[in-house]
Amino acid sequence: MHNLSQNTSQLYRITYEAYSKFANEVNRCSDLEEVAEVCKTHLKYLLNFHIIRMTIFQGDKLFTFELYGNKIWFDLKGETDLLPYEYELFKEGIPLITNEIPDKLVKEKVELNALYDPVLWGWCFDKKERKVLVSLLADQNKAFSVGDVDILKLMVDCIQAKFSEIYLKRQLAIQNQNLSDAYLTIKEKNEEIQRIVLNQKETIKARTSEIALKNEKLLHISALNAHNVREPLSRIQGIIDLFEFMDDETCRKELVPKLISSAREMDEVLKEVVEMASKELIELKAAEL
Amino acid sequence: MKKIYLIDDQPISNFITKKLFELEGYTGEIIDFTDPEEAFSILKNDKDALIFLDLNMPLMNGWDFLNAMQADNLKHEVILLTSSTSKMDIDKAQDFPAVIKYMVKPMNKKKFLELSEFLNLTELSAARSK
Repeated sequence: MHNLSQNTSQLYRITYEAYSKFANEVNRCSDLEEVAEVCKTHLKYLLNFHIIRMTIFQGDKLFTFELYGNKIWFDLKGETDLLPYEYELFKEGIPLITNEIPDKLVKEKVELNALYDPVLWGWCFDKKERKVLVSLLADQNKAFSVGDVDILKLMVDCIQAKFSEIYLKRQLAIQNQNLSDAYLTIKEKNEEIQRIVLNQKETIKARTSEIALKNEKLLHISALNAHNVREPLSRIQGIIDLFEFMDDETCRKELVPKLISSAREMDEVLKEVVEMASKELIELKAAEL
Repeated sequence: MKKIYLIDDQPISNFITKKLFELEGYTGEIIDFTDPEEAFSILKNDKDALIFLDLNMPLMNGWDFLNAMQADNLKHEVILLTSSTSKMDIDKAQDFPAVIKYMVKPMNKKKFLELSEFLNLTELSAARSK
């Protein structure tokens, strides 16, 4: 049996197959928890590592996840601080390879003493809209070399693309929710406006018919008044017309008393008219208040 | 000669009309009423009278009177003599075939002459020349 590690083309095929599987699985994921689970199962076939840590920047938020042994840890809410060497990576963008392993990275995950010649690798990949920080802890038993960087980059691309997709979906869902909330609010407001308009219309209708009724009443009163005043006046005129056909004696005895009583009646009617008109005015003013 | 009825709740109005008839030398029978209901009960049993009817009256107004006449199919001629100048009243009067003239008070000698076509003028002038 010949040495597999020396057969480069076969090695490539195996790596390619492992990557395809990984990429397929990541593709099917619908949330970041599922992505983390896929990484846990498949990454070990692509790369050798004791700890792999990834931080994806999204605006002012961070998404961090770590894989060690068969355990996974992640923080989707961006509550975790960057490690000091990660700050350097982020700032300078220069890849890192060092034997100085920060305690914070390995604490409660890997027993540093059990590692044989541990090396910490670090990269800052600058992808169009967002940066991704990747660090990887390897040793002689789980060796990582410069030749593995290509496959690591592919892996990071795959995860980062998925992250973008999930992030956009989530943003879209939030936008949709906001839109439907806004739609509901607008609908409610519209209904309220409709109610107010309807109410206004009815108020106007009621007021208008009230005014029309009042007008009619007033017109009726004024017509009636004119009528009532004209009645005794026409009698007075009628009597006066008779004067020229009668002698003084008859005029004084028959016509004058009738003239006096008709004039008195006319005065009474006019008094009533004035009283009624003032009463109506007072009522109208009271109704306005 | 037609019998003449004056129906007006104001006795002075009836007095004026009567005086004008007298001045014209009319000698026919003139009966005046201030109560339209009483007038109606008498007119029910009469025929072809000429009625001077006021419109504005309490209890039974001129329209009520005309309606009652129509209901009882009474064939008298009616001259409305009223102080109302309202177009509504003038128009309404057209609805009653019994109404032959609408006159606005005050009644005077000049207006009285307009009635000559309804009263027998020859009779009147004959009476005057006596």
